[in-house]
Amino acid sequence: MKYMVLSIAKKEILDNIRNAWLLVVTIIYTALVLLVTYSGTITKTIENVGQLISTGLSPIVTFLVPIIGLMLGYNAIVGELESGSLLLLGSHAVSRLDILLGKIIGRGFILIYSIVLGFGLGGILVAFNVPNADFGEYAIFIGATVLLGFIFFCMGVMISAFFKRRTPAIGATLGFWVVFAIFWPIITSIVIFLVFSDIVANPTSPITDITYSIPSWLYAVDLFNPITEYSRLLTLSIGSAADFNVIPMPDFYSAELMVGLMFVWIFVMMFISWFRFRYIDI
Amino acid sequence: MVSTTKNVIHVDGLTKVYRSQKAVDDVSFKIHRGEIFGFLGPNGAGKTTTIKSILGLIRFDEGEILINGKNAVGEGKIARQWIGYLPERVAMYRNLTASQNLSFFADLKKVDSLNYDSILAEYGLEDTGKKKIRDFSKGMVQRLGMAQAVIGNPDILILDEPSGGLDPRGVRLIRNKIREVKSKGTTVFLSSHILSEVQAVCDRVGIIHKGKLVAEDSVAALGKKLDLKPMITVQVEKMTSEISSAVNSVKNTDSVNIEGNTIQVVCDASTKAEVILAIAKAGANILNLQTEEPSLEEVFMRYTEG
Repeated sequence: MKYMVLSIAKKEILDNIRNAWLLVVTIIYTALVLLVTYSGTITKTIENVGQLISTGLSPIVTFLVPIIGLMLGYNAIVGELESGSLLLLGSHAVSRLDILLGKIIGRGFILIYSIVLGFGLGGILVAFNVPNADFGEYAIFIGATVLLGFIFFCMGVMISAFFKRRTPAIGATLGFWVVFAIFWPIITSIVIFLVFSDIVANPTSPITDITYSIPSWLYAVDLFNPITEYSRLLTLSIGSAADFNVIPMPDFYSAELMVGLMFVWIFVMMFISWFRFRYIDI
Repeated sequence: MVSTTKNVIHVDGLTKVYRSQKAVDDVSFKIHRGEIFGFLGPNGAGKTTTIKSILGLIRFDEGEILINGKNAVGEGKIARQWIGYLPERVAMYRNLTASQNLSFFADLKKVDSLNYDSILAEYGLEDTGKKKIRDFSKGMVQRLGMAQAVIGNPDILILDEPSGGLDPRGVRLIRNKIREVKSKGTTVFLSSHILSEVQAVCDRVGIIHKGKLVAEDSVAALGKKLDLKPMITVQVEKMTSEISSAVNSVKNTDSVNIEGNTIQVVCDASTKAEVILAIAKAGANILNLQTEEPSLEEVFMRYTEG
């Protein structure tokens, strides 16, 4: 099994590494770091790595990395299904799980490679511009970004397993991105507005700390988005990250919990992908 | 390890339903070791569905498929290691070169250290090793598809409409390859709607029509079952009225057709000698004599009409 998975992963890397967009994405990541650092130092708003991540990088990353991850994943199965090459691949002594794992490892490598190279290169250049360069914090940022990208990449693969044609799969992919990257903060804002208007209108006890008044299910809503986990993780581990979250952070939120939840996302997406893919007709 | 069972592929009661329509309906057949089995049928008859079921690419509703004794569903991964497959619509990895594609499929077949340039040359694809598939024509991809199917000398070769998109030279190449692999002991399952292709190479045929297997035997045996008779074609130096009346006077012929100096008679093999003797006795100088067995086309038309 291991041999087959690695053969497929190798093919995925060869097949995708030639794509021009991989180069483009890597350059975008590096350029992004440089641009944010340069503008931050000119305006003197960025004096350390924490500020670089919070005010400049993480807000853009939460939009950019999910869509890149999704775009790398959505094509993984449906692309081969539509072109017909999956027929040939599936006719060999490989299981559906071999194919899925091979694709996830191969394309996942490309995703991680582009993030580490792009932001890593940017980080090296940042070291010359930011006065208090803390590479530990920057490494956490890169690690968290890899996890974020990988979750959305697995989400893309999952979407890929549900379609027979590429065009509707693109539509679904964009739909997922819009919901998680754009609508979610709006949805949680509306929910919290409704909850708090109710609490303010009918106070049962004096509101001393706002977090005590939040019903626990609202945290579930808050955490049902990998981007929340990402920004909370950065806030918790670096101290200052751009936080679009309108729900205040309770005590039980921890960096470990966020990382754990991010891995849960990955495994759930992979499991759904496999569950679907093992049954589809090629 | 390859099993030595007589039946390399055993399909029993295969049924596949697509949206309440039976694409394949209770199809059963056996393919014997070392033979070339032709799987004939009009477009949409269920040929590709049957092949995809054998390869575990689709889930079927009823029946059982054994490949060298292994269940194609439960033990599909083991069963597929013996198979080389050429799909009807070959698609390879467009960003990879011809050599990289072959190397990937060789990896999956656990075959290493091959000389891809010489393999490509064998299939008329000289100097294309470093060329990307996106720059290949349909016919070139088809040839490359055949090359990948044969890599590692599989025990079973499944070819789905292998001549599609090929020029006459390519068709001949595929035909020669089929004969070559048979001589090495490979069992070939050839699906086609081109009758001449099947008649030229196959030992036995199965005819599938509207999802049902309507016949399975050698072409000659099927002709016999349908009471199809051979046709004798005699060419004489000069046609005379004596020759003509002598041929027409032979009993038990099905049809007599005389055109110029050529006489065509459809009759039993036992009547054949009588016909030739009558022509000779009428003073004809026979220049050429040919006997055509019942054609697959006739067999096919009889089984699939209506």
